Amino acid sequence: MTAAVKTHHLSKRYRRGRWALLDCTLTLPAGKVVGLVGVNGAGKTTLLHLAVGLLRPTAGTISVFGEPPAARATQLARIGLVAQDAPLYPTLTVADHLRLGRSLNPGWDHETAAARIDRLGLDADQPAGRLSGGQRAQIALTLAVAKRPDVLVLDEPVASLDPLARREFLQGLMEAVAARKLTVVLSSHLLGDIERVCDHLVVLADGRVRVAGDVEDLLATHKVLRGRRRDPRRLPADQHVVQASHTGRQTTLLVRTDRPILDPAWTVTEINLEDLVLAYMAAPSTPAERPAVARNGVHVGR
Amino acid sequence: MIEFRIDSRSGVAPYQQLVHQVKQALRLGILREGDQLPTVKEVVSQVAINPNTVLKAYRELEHEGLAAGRPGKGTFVTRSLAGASLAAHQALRRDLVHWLTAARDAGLDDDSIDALFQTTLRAGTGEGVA
Amino acid sequence: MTWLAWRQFRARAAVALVALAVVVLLLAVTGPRLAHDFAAGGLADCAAGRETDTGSLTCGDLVRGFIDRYPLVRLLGTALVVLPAMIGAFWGAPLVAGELEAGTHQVAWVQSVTRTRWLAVKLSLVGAVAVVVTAILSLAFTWWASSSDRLGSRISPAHFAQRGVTPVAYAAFALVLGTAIGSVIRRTLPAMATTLAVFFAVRQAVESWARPRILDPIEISHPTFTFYTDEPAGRVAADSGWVLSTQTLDSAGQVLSSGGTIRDDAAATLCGLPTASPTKAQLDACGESLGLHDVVTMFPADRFWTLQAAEAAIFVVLTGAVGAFCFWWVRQRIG
Repeated sequence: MTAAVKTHHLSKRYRRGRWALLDCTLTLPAGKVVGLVGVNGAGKTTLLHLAVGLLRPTAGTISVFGEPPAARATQLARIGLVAQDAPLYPTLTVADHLRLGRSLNPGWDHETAAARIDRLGLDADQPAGRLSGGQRAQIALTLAVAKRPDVLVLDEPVASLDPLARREFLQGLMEAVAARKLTVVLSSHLLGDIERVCDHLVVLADGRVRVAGDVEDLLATHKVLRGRRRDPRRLPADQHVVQASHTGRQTTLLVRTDRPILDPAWTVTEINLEDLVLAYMAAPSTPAERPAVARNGVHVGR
Repeated sequence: MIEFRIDSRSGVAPYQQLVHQVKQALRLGILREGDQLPTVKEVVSQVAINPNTVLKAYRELEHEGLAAGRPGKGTFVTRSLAGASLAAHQALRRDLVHWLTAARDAGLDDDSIDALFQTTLRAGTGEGVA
Repeated sequence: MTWLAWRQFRARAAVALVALAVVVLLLAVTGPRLAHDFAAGGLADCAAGRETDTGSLTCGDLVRGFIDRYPLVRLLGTALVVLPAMIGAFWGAPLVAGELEAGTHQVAWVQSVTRTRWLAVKLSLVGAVAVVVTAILSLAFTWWASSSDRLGSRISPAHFAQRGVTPVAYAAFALVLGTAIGSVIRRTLPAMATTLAVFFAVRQAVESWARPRILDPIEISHPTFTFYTDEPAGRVAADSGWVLSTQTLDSAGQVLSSGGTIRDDAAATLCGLPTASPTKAQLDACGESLGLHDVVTMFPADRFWTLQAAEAAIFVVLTGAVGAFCFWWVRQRIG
């Protein structure tokens, strides 16, 4: 498995002094669609901007296909970005933006770009400032895809779109992924979308990586255990407790383990992606630090 | 050709939903031997899912001997699940419609009908339904 | 990259070029008439140091009348002082700050072009237009005002910065300064205000501190003939140049006054004259007997171009330094 993006103890602190990202060591595999989830302020945008070279690490390293991002023009050619809220030049027309893409990218695929704009039914002479959020997102995606990058980074591309525009955007994105070998890193709050399009997942909370891995592996290695109330610290060593909640008599645990659960006292159920993500987003860094206050098996986030 | 649908809220992995829908179509005779399955690109632009998911579903179908990939052409159905029973579908469906009418006349709503059907099915076969 | 830079800048460039064309046209039309008025109205004589032969009017009256007739002299002079500052505030400050503020740097900086090249192309394009516009305006104005400038005033601080090549150097400096400040502050409006403040502060510092020290001024000495009661306007040409200081000394070399004049009553006391109302003849005789003479430290008018070149060089160096900082900042410190 080749790594598209690799980080090593990557940390970023802004001028105001807060660590937006702390000690993040990750390998994002090439050819996958990676979903990045976390609450607002968890460090998603910071990580994505580090990956495209808009930001520089305060400590640690990040590389895209083995090289620091944005170090050279050829390296910039390998990444595409659809930034949050898809900023465009408001006075430049749709056609101008395509011209921009063509004049700034040696690998520009004008046919694809023109075909996409055509299919979207956009007036090429319309200034970008008068487009809707969905249309701007589509232009931004066109710009990012037509430069033929190896890694496509999208920062909450569908957050501000209505359901129809959202679906159309994801269709366009997935077509691009199907058309060429492309690694996608995508942040979103919408777990339904993540589940639909992503095959690799990274959960961030408080600037740290809580969990990362292939979606299938994650779902296969996490189990919900229900049974009589007992101390979760007395589980077998290979069962790592992600989340624990207790009522007077019952204990519910979310554990991560590679092996089958043998203890017959537990009722074992599978977990879906949404509950898994929510559990990791809410879980304290070490379970002992913050006693869990839970309802319906899901911790109430801060 | 069939159209796929993905239910994000079902909790069933998207690739499994695709496999189910192909099998369903095979059982109902919507897909027959030799039919081509939609290409990855078609599926992706239709339902906005990860292309790898489609590939995975098709691999699963190939693994079960229901479909085969022909390089450069696409994936084709190699076996039907309807078989001889397909002919009986028409008559069975008619009976079922009669039964449903009777059930409604007896005051059952859709949920009750579904529950009754599921429990009867389970009791009859002794195992869960996928 | 050039295409994008031009596409973003072309509207502002067009406004500037149209305004420039209008002004140049105006100068071309009025220039010959101004030269004619200057020569015919007796001002040419004043400029040459001769009293005018128009009789009733002194040279001072003529100069004032001339300025009233051509308000464009003052207007364009002011415009040339303000133009570089405007270029810094309106073209320089938003160059990077505007993109950061609108978030469009997230478009520009992820294309296959490094930030360094992006900034280099933008700065060179806007810089080229700024330099050309300022140069044409300044040279046209220098030509237009060349006859009236024979009154000896163009090397004086009031006019020096409105003529020749310095406005061009100011413009280049202001543009780079605005860009750098915008990159650091990251917001357009505060960056514009800061650019104006810093630009004029630097201009002022150079004018009052550096400019008098670039070259060695000359000292000329002549007998004191200007007493307090005299009208100084009669000798427009005599001190034509930029006077840094004038001191009145006696024959022993003792400084009696540093204002270029000596009070009548003071002179009278020195010579033992009645202090109430000494006559001019008495005062002249007194000055002669005491050996009163003025020492003028100055740059004569013919040093104009040398001084222009020196000051322009200062600003070119400053432009380079601030530019280097700006590139470093955009490459290393943003993000």
